[in-house]
Amino acid sequence: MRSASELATLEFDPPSALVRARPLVRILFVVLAVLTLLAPGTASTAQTTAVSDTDAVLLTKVRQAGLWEMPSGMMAMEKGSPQVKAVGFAIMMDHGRLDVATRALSAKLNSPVPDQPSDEQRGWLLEQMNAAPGPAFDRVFANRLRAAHGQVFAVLAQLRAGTRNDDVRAFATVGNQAVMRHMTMLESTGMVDYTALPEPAVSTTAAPAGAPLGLDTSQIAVVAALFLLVGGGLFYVLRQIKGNRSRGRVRTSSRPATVRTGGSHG
Amino acid sequence: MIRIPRPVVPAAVCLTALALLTACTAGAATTSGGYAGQQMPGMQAPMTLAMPQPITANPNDPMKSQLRGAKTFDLGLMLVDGTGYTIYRYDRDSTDPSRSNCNDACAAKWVPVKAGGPAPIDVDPSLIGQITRDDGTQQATLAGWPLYHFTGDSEPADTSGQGADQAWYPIAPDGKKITLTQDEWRQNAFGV
Repeated sequence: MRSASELATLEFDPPSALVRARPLVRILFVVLAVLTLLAPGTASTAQTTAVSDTDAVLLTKVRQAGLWEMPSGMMAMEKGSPQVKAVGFAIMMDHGRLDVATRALSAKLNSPVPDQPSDEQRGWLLEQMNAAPGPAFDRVFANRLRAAHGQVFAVLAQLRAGTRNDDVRAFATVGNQAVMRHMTMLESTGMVDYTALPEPAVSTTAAPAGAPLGLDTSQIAVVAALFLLVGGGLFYVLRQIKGNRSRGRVRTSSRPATVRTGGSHG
Repeated sequence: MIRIPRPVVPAAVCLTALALLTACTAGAATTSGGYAGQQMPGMQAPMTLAMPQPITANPNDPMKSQLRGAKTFDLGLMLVDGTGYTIYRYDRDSTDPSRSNCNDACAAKWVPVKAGGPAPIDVDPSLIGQITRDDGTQQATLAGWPLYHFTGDSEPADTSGQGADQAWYPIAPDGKKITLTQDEWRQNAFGV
C-alpha cells in the first residue's frame, strides 16, 4: 500500500524530467532487447561448433575403427604371411589401447559411441574371411586397413587442429600417432596399392569424413541472422541519437530547413 | 499517405531476423539428431566377430599362457599373452628365490599365468622360468618375476592395472616394470 502511494508520488512529482529522458529510455530498451536476443543465439552456435558434433564424430570414428580392426588383426594372425601376422598383432594391441582411451573419454564427455561395426566394415571383414590364406589375404588386409586408416587420419588431423576441447585435443594427439604408425606398418608389407586409395576414401561409411566439420548452410544463415539483428539494433540506436541531436539543434541554432527535411520524413 | 511509425521498421527487421535464427537453429538441431541416429547400425544380420577376450572369459585358453614381446605405439615394448592382453609383475613378490606373495583373493583378481604355454614369441627364452605356487599350481616367471593377468583388463594391451596398490605394473620383455603412462608418453614425445 505504502509503496504504491510512493510510486504514485514519484510518477507525478517530476513530469518534465521523465518526458525529457524518454528517448534515452527508448534507446536503452532497444539495446537491452538486442542483447537479450543475441545472448542465446551466440551460446547455441558456440555449442554446435566448439564441443559436441565434431568431437563426437572423432570418438565414433576411432571407436568404430577398433571394432573391425581388432577382429581383422586376429584374422591376420591366423591367415597372414609372417609379416602380416606381426602387423595384425601390433594393430590389434594398439587399437585395444586406443579403445580404452576412447571409451573413457566417451564416458567423461557423455558422448555415446557405437558398439557394432558398420555394414561397410562388416563387408570388409567378410572379404577377409573369404580370402585364401597367404598373399590373397595379405592384399585384402593391407589395402582395406590402409584405406580406412587414411580416412580416420584425416578426421584426427582436423580435430587435433581445431577442437575446443582439451581432452579431445590430447586424445587426437595420441590417436594421430597410433594411426600414423598403422599406416606405415601396413605400407611396410609392400601390399598397398596407392593408386586404389582414393576409392575407399570416398566410400559411404555411416560417418562421412568431412561433412560435419565444415560450415553448413544453416550455420551460415545463423550468422547472417545475427548480423541482421545487430545491424538492425545499431541502426535504430544511431537514428535515435541522430534524431535527439538534430532536435536539440533546432532549438538552439537557426539552421536552414533543408537540412532537417531528411530527418522529419523518417 | 499512410505514415509508418518510425520504430516499426527496425522492429520488423529484428523480428524477421529472430524468426530466421530460431528456424535455423531448430533445423541444425534436427540435422545433427538424424546424423547421430545413423551412427548406430545395430540392426543388421548378426555376424560372429572374433574379438580378443579377457582372461575371465576363458581362463584355460592355451594362448593365454603364451608369452609374447610386442611394441605398442605409446608404451614401447611390453610383455603380453598370446591374445595380446597385458602381463603384470608384483613389486611385493621376490625374484631370488622366485616367489609369489599373491594368493587367494589376490590371485582371483590377479590371475597367475600358467607355466608351459605355447612357444614364446619375441621373448628371450633364457629369461622364462616357472615356480610352484602355494596351492601347488605352476606359474610362469620372467627374469624371476612371477607373472599375472589382470581381471580388470578388457582389451588387448589394456593397462588398467598399472600402478594398482602402487605395486602392480606391466612388465617389459626384459623383466623391468613399465611405469610410463599414455599421458606421460604424450607429454614427453611432444615436449621440449
